[in-house]
Amino acid sequence: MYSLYFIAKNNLKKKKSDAFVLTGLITLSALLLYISISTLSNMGKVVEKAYELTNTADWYMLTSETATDNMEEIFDDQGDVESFEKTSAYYVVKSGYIVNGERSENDYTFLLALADEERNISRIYSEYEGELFDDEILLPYYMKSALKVEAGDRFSFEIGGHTYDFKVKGFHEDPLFANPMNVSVYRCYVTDKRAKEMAAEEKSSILPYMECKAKLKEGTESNRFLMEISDAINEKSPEATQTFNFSFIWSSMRYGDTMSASIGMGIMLVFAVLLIGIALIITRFNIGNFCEMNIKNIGILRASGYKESQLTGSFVMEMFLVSLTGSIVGLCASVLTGGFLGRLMSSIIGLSWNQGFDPKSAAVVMAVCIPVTMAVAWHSSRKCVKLPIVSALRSGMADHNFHKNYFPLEKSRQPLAMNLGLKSVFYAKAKNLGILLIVMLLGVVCCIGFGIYQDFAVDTDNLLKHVGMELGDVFYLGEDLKEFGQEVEKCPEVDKVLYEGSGDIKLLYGGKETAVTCDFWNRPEFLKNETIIQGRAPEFDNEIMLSVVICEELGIEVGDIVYVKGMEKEMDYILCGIDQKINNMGRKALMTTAGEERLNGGSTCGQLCVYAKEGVSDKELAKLLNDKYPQREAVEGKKMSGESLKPVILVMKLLCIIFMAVTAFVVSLVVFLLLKTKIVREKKNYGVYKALGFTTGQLLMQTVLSSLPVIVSGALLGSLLCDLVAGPLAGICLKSIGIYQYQMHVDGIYKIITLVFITGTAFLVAVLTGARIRKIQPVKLLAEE
Amino acid sequence: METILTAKDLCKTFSQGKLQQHVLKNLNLEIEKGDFVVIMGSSGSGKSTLLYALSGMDKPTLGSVKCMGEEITGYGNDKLAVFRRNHCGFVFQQNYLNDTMSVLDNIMVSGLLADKNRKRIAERAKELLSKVDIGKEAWNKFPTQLSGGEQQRVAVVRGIINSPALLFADEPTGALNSRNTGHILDVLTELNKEGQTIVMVTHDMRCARRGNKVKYLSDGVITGELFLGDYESGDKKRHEELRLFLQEMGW
Repeated sequence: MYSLYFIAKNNLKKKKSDAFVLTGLITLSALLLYISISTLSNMGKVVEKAYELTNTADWYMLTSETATDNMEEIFDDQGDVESFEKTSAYYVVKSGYIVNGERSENDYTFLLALADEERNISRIYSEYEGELFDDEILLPYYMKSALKVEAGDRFSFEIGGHTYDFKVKGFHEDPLFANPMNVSVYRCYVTDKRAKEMAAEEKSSILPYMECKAKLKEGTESNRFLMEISDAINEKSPEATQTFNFSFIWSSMRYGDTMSASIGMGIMLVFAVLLIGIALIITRFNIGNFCEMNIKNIGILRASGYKESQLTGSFVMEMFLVSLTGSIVGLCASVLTGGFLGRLMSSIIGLSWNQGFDPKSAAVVMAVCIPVTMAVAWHSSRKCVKLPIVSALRSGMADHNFHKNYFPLEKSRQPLAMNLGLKSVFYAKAKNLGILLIVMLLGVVCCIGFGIYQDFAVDTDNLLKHVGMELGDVFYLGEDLKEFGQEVEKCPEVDKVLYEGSGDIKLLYGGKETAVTCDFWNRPEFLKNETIIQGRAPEFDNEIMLSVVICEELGIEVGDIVYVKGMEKEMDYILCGIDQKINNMGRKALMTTAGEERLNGGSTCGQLCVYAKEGVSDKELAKLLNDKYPQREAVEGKKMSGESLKPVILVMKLLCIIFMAVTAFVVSLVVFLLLKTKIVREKKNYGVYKALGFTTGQLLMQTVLSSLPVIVSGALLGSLLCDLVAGPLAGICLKSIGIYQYQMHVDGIYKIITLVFITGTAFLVAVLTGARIRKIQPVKLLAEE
Repeated sequence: METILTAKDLCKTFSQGKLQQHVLKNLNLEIEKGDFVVIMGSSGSGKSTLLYALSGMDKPTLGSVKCMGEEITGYGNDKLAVFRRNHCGFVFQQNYLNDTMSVLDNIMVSGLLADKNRKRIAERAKELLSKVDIGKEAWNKFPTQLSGGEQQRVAVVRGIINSPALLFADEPTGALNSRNTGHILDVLTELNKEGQTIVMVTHDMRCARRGNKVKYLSDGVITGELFLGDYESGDKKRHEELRLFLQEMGW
C-alpha cells in the first residue's frame, strides 16, 4: 500500500496545479452538495421546532367575529380535536409600512394579534421578553431576516393617509405565517388598547376578526378532519364560511413555509451533481494527459516489476487523496459559510435557522464524492497501464499516429492562426467533444438561471399566473361587496369587475373523497392568472374546474361527473376543465357564482377584482376609486403581490447568481486546464515556432483559437438547446408543487448574454493562461536537449 | 564577396546568482554570401551559443550582430521573430517537427509566415521535398510515420522554405545514423552549391569536411580558421588538412 501511496504522492507533486484545480472543483461540488442536502434535510426540523415551541395550531381559521359564537360547540363535538381556542385579531386590509422613516415600496396586508390575550395554541415565541407597551410592536421574524428591520427601530403603519408609530420591541416566529409565500399576511402583536384605537380610526381598512385555532389528536388524518370540520361549520355556522375568511391546516402549511427554499435547494442539488459530473470528466482528462506525458515512466515501472493493478491502484490512490482533500475542504468551507447560509435560509423561510453542522449530510457528501472519483480514476487509467511495456518505453501512444490531417494548410482558406487552432481542436476530437458537452450543459444551466430569473423574478405577471393569485388591477376585501361592485363597474375608467367568494367543498368521485377550497367567480372566463391545461373555464352552473393535483388524486378526467357536497346539498357537476396552481399546494376547485348558488342556495363575495380600461394605470385607478369611495380601501394588486412574492424572487435571483458564478468558475477551470496542458505538452513546438519566426502574439492567438471554437460552439449549442431542455428540466422540478404545464421562456437577449458571458470568460482565461507562452525561450528549450 | 553577417566584440555571459560564466568573449566574425561555415570546438566551448546569438534567437550580453544590413542587437523579441522569419532558416539536432501535423503542413506553417500565398508555398514545399527525396506518398503522412533520416530532411526543407539568406544548422546529424548523416550532408552541400549560405555547428569531422570555412572556437573566442575551398567528394587532401587543423587546435 505504501508503494501505491508513494507513486501517487509523486504523481501529485508532478502536476500540482492540475491537482489543485481538481481539488478546487471537488471542494465546490462538496460544498454545494452539502449545503443542498443538509438544508433539504434540516428544513423540516427547523419548522418542526418552531411548531413545537409555539404549539402551532393544526387547524386555523380567520373569520368574522360574529360568525364564531358557536364555534366551541362545533369543536367539542369533534372527536379528533384535542383543544380549541379563539383569539381576537384585527385584519389590516392594506397598509404601507415605514421603517426608520423609509417607506416600503409595496403595500401589504397585516394581521394585528393582541399581545395581552392569553393563548395556548400558536403562542408567542420570541427571544424578546417582557411586557409589550402600547407604543411597541412584535413583528414577524421574516421582517428581521429578510427585510433587515432591527429591534428598537421605528415602525409605522400608513393607513388611509394616517400613520401609526411603534417602536419595534422584537420579532416572533410563527410557522403558520412564517413568510409571505405561505400566507400573504404579516402577523404582528400589538396591545389590545392600541389595536382598538387604530380600528376605530380606520373602519374601512382595519376589520375585527377572530382567529379560531385547534390542536388535533396525534394520528388524526388531516384530510378527513378537514372534510368533517367543513361539513360541521357549513351546517352549524354557515356565516363563518360565507363572510371573508381564510382557513388552513398545518399539514399543508408546513410545506408552504419551505416551498421556495426547497425549490431553490433542489435546483442547487441538481447543479452540485452536475459539477461532480464535470469533475469526473476533468479527472478523466487529467489521467489521460498524465499517462500520455509519462508513458515512458509507466513503461519503466512496468518493466521493473509493477503489476497493472498496482499502477491502476496508484492512480486510484491519487484521486482518493484529491477527492478526500476536496471533500474535507468543501465541508470545512460549509462550516465557515454556515452563518451566511443560516441568515439566507432565515430570510427565505422566515424562521430562525438554528441548525449546526450535520454529520449525516457530510457523510453522504463523502460517500458520493470519493468513491465516484476513485471509480473514474480506475476506469481511466486502465487503458494506459495495459499498454505493452515495449510500446510504453517507446513513448507508446505517440508512436502510432493515424489521425486524419484535418484542415490541411494547402487547401484551407482560414487565417493561419485560426487554421492551426482548428487543427488542434480536431486533433483531440474526443477530448474536445467532452468539453463541448460540459460547456453546452453549463450554457443550458445558465439559460435556466436566466429563464427562472425572467419567469419568476422579472415577469411577476407570469409568476402570479403560476401561483394562481388573482388580484385584479385593484382589489377590495371585506363584506357586502356585491352592490358596491356594481357601483364600481359603472365608472368609465373601469373595464370590468369580478367577484370572488370561497368556501370549502367536498368532492366525491369513484369511491374517493377529498376536501378542497373552492373559489367562486362570477365570470371565470375573464380571470387573468388562470392557467387551464385542459378543457375550459366553467360557464354554466353545473360545471366545475379542478386543479391537476386533485384530478390526479381522484383519477377524474374532463367530461366526468363529480359529486360536490356543499353546505346544504350534494350536487353533480361536470368537470369542464383542469387548471394548475401553486397556492394551497395546488389543491383548488373553481366554479361560477351560479354554480355556488346551485350548491349552497346563495353566493358569497369576499373579494372584488377591478380591471382598468386600457390607458388607465393601476395607480390612477386606485386613486380614483379611493377618492370616489373613501369608505372602502382600494388596493393596487401589483403592490400587494410584490411583497408576497419577495421570497420567491430572492431565491430565483440567488439561483441565477450562483449558476452564473459556478459557470464562470467551471469554464475558467476547463479553459485553464486545457491550455495549460497544451502549453506544457507543446512547449517544444512553441519554442521551435518562435525560433522559426512566430511572434508571441501569433502563438497566443493560435492557442486561444485552439480552445475558443469548442467553448463558443458549446455555449451556442447550450443557448440554442435551452428552449428544448430547460423547460422540461424546470418542469420536472415544478411538477412537485402543482405546476404541470410550464413553458420556460428565455429571451433572446439572455441567450446572447449567456453566449457572451461564457465566451468572454473563456477568452479572458485563455489569454491569461496563454500569457505563459511569452516566457518560453527557444534557446533554453534547445539547450535542454 | 558580399558580407552578409558581421559579429563584433560579441560577449555572452550567463549568470546564476553570484556565479558568472563568460561563454563568448569579445568574439568577432564575418560570414560572406555563399559560405558554408562550420563552427567546431570542444563541448562547452560556446558553439551553439554563438549560433543562437548570430541568428537572433538569443541576445548577446555585449557586442553587435549585423545581418543583411540590419543591426539586430537592439531588437525586441517580436522584431527578432520577424527578422528570423525573413532571413534565417534553422535545422536542429532533433527535427522538432510537430507530430500533430502532416509533413506538408509542417513545412507550410513556416512558409506561410513570410508568404501568404498558400498555393505558391505548397508548390515550393512539394518541389523542395522532392528535391530531398521525400516522395509524394509521404507528404500527407505524419512525422512519426517517417524514418529519422526522412524526418530530418523534412526539417531541412522547413528551414529553407522561406529562401533564407542564412541557414543555421545546429548539429543537424547528431541524432542520425551514418547512412542518414551522409544523406543530410549531401542535401546541405547541394543547397550550398546552389548559393545557400550555411552556418553549421558540429563536432563531427565528416560534417566539417563539407564546409568551405572551418572556425574553431575555444573558451569563447575563435582561435583558428581554416579555408578548405569547395567540397568535392573523395578529396583526401581536404580531409588531411582538416585533421591537421583540428590537431593543431587541440581537438
